[in-house]
Amino acid sequence: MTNRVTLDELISGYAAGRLPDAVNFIVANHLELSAASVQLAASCNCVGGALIDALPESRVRSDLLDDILKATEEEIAVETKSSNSSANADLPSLLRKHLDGPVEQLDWREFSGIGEYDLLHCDRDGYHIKLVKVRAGRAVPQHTHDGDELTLILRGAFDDVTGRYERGDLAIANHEVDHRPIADSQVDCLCLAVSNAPIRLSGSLTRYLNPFLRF
Amino acid sequence: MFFVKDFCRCGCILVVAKILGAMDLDAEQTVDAASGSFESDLKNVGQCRDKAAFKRLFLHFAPRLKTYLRKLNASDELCEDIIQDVMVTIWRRAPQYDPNRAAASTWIYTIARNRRIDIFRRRRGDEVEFEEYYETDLVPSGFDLFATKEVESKIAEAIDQLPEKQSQMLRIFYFEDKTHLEIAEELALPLGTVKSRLRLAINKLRSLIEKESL
Repeated sequence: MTNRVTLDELISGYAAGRLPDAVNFIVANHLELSAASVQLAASCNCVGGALIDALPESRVRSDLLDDILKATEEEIAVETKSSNSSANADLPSLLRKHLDGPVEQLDWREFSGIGEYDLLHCDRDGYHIKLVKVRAGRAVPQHTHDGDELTLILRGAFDDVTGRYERGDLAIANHEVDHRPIADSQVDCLCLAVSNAPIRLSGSLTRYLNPFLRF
Repeated sequence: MFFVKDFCRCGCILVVAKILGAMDLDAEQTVDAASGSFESDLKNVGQCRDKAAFKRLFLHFAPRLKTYLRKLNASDELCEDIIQDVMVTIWRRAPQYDPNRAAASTWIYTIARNRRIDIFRRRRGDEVEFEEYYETDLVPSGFDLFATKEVESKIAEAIDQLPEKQSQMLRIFYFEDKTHLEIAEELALPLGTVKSRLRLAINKLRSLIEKESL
């Protein structure tokens, strides 16, 4: 049996609230872009609802309802992190809330057609959340992964040994996947990527660069 | 280092969900929230700020949410803080509630899950500030969701008919913050047994629901 988690398992884990924060984040963004996954999530939420309904009751303090009703009367400042740019309009709304400006103008680390931008780092679980961009037709060097790597395609597409991934698809990789993703020749590829371990270069020559890799 | 699969490998849920996907759900059908149902209560809270309806929702869901949160090891006080947060959120978002898209308990479960994840994270003092995410916000994207009361009733029935050991697994999956390994250790079961019980639960649910829709 494979060690690689499946998309369905991620979605059911999401519905049950079991995912590490970074993984939860990428799955939530994926759900904004995938009709099939949304249906699956809705179904899993249904299971949650049915289970909650069937739970036995626990006592709550007698004045809780009063406090709640009072709180509903409070005016809240509707805090909306306004869409900072129409340039990001095609990106999932959850991701947009975490971007300070148009994606093109972020402080990218770029090298030879591949760019990275560190979005968030979850110390607790050791996950890194990045944006990655790959110029049309460019390949990411052959590599595998010590941990898990989840990649959500936001723009463009890429192909690798496990298949073709287009906008909205969530690619799942771990140590079982040794790949050289190639961006579609027509369109630059933009992805959200979550991982908890460095990649391990595995090309016949590049593998010797591993000790020098910065995570 | 934990792998993602340690948190969510569960054949169970997938099959339930796939079943629903295969169910004959008539897209044209509108669900008139039956009067006296929690669906109609939610609708009335949203449309006319009906406090009696809100109270009914509180009386049913608050004690169950308390059980849910206690299972996740929240203190009494934290539980009630979260319940307050959830109920106020329900009040504020009720205008967006649509009984054609979700059963009341599904909708409320989703809010409770998202809020408790957020609040637990803040209490841990995590540096990372994730912006709040309400799944109910998926509606604007135009995807059709069918998680209505009818669908949920079928699921509830199917869960009821599961052997106790399998429905126990489902409840642990949804309600307890444990990896499969931890579940196995706590129940003094081999890891393989935990996984296969979940798989069995799913297959049972699948055949029961398939029978239903014939």
